[in-house]
Amino acid sequence: MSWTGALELDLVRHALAAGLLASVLCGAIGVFVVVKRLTFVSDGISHAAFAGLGLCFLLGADPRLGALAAAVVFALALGLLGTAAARQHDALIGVLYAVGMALGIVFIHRAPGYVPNLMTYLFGNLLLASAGDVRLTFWLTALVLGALLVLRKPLVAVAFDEEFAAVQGVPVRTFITVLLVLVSVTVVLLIQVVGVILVLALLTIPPLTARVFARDLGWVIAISIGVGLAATAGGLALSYRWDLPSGPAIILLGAAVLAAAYLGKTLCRGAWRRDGAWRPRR
Amino acid sequence: MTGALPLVEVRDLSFGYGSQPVLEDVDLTIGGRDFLALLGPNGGGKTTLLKLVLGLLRPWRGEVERRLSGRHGAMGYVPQFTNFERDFPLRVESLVLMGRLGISGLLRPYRRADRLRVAEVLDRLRLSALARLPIGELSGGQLQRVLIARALVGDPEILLLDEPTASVDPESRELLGAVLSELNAHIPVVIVTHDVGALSHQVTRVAFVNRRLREISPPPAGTAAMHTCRPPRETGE
Repeated sequence: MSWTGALELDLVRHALAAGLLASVLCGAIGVFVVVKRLTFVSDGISHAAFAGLGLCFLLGADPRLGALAAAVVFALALGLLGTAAARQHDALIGVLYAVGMALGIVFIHRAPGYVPNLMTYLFGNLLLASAGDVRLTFWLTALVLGALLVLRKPLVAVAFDEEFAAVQGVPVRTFITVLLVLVSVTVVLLIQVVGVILVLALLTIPPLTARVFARDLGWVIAISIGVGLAATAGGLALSYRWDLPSGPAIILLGAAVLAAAYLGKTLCRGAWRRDGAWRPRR
Repeated sequence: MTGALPLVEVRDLSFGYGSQPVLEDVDLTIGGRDFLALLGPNGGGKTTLLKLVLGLLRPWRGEVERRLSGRHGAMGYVPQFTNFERDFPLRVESLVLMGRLGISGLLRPYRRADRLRVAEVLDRLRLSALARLPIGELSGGQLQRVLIARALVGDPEILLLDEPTASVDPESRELLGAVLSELNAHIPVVIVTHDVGALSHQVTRVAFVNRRLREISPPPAGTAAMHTCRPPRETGE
């Protein structure tokens, strides 16, 4: 079937819509995850989400809502505890992550009746996205982006220098918690795109790529969103063309873009240095 | 210090991390046109005392009374470089603009007045040419001036600086001295330093902090004596 023919399928259009919305989100929120060094914490959120997802399966409730609830509760708890404390006890928290994951798997395994394919949640499957999923993704994306826009000043201040933000009257703990909740909503949406295991990659690859090129937060976010969109659309196309699992295809394409960006920058810098045109660091 | 009540009064203050006391029975008043230098060994509690004065830490015992206008940013704070990541994607002007956060309001966008104030202060600190540079490309001295600019755009009523001369080139150091004395004509300045020699002709009070605070002011006559009481430079912190 041709590409345009594929786009006429509801299945493909839903996949593309949910994937692109989620990648706008991961591009924007991922920048905060990277600059605030929240990758470890985001990983924990995805594992907590998985436990919630499994539990809802067992109880026969909507697994997406279970994932969202568990992720948000985990984020609120971390916010109260403080991310500094979380980093201090990282080994113990690593154990908790594994427990969340194990619980999720056990719950799904024990669920009565039809046992869904675990791989779907571990590695994502956009092609299973329904019209309802797309609507939920749309509203959550709008919510998170709206919050980012309204709260950008205090969020950036807290991400950059918590003490100075506090001196300027920013309630630091509150805004860290808000940031974690925004991350948790993003993580839940990304689980559908790339699955629990690969969420971290989709949160970090676009901002890391953007930072190769841009040195200003606004541009980093813009380029990061672009990279997220390109990786998702391209990965879906690859998955459709060669019958690959969509989540891993998206991640591998993103990683290739990141590697190319680093390589390109290194080569360019070398060339500039030889010309003597490269600006010295001071 | 003249007749009026001091701007900041620290009374009988004790503080520590975990169960380890860092500061004990500290009494200190700051006000008028004080230029107070806090000296002492690493780990002696200088930075901690600054943070207590700023209200970033809550004392175990005792209190810190501040007689400021209460507006956000009324305390100008210049932290050490270790407070943030130098590879954070931020341009000089955006970093300095954060000093207007409290005045402009947390949720309202920055206004023209905020940007004008930033331009003024950047100019005074000879940073205008660097305004568009990312902070990761600055030298130590330039970054130090940027942090001071961030504290100044908030029009502080008192200025607290943590090791502002630590990694500073001679040119920046000279400019720093001039700017601080200009400010000191209106507001009190507190400076944590290893290197009082650099600012010796401005310092009006000296206190030695090592768990306890001992004021040795008025400073011993002449700057030569100041150099001798400078503790040995240590690594870390």
